[in-house]
Amino acid sequence: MALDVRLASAPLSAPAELESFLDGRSRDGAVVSFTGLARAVARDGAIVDTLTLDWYPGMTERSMQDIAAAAAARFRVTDLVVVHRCGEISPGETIVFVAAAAPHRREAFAAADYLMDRLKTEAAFWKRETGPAGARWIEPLDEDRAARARWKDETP
Amino acid sequence: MTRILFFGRVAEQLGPECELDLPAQGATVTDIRRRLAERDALSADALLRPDVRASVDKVVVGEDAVARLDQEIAFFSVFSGG
Repeated sequence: MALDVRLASAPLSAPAELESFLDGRSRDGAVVSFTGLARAVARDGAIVDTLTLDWYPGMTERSMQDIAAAAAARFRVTDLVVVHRCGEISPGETIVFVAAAAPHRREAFAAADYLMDRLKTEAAFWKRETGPAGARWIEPLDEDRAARARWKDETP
Repeated sequence: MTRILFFGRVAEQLGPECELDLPAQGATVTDIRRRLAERDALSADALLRPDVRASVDKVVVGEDAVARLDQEIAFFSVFSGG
């Protein structure tokens, strides 16, 4: 089992991350990956020029590591990778890349889904959208919290 | 003087950090928050909110937690998630 958890202050390449994760993998039957992108338009239609993710060095990495470790303990996965951007991000750039490898696909799907639901609500970031209308802080939405809550009552 | 760090909305209002005189034996989060809030109205507005949490040595703690002078103390708004 390998957990590869990283914070990236420079643009990250999802294809390169996936290629590296797949390289030499012959004992797993499934790799599920997810790529989150910065949107040019907010949920309410406002234009977004820049997404800024503030972070607390040390605490933010630990929050990501804790989430990845919980996923590893909960699902029968072989390896997990989580790479998250911090700092200023332009529309179209990758914010987050996660991938899960497992002998069978369902565990890989579930682990990637779980990782994202927890990262979206619990990772130690402070997110701000800046556009023509100014800047505003973004907090988890009810639907993000509901997605996170799906995992609470299930046994590991 | 002990350095106090701020993140998120709190940092936007108060800047990334400040220094505060704390008693030699340390202080609780409640006490540190109160001392900071007493400095001025902006500090009070930024810090006296129920969703502003604190950490000691990068671990989120409750209001009763005690921070020693050699520990890293931070206050921040609610995490947005990634």
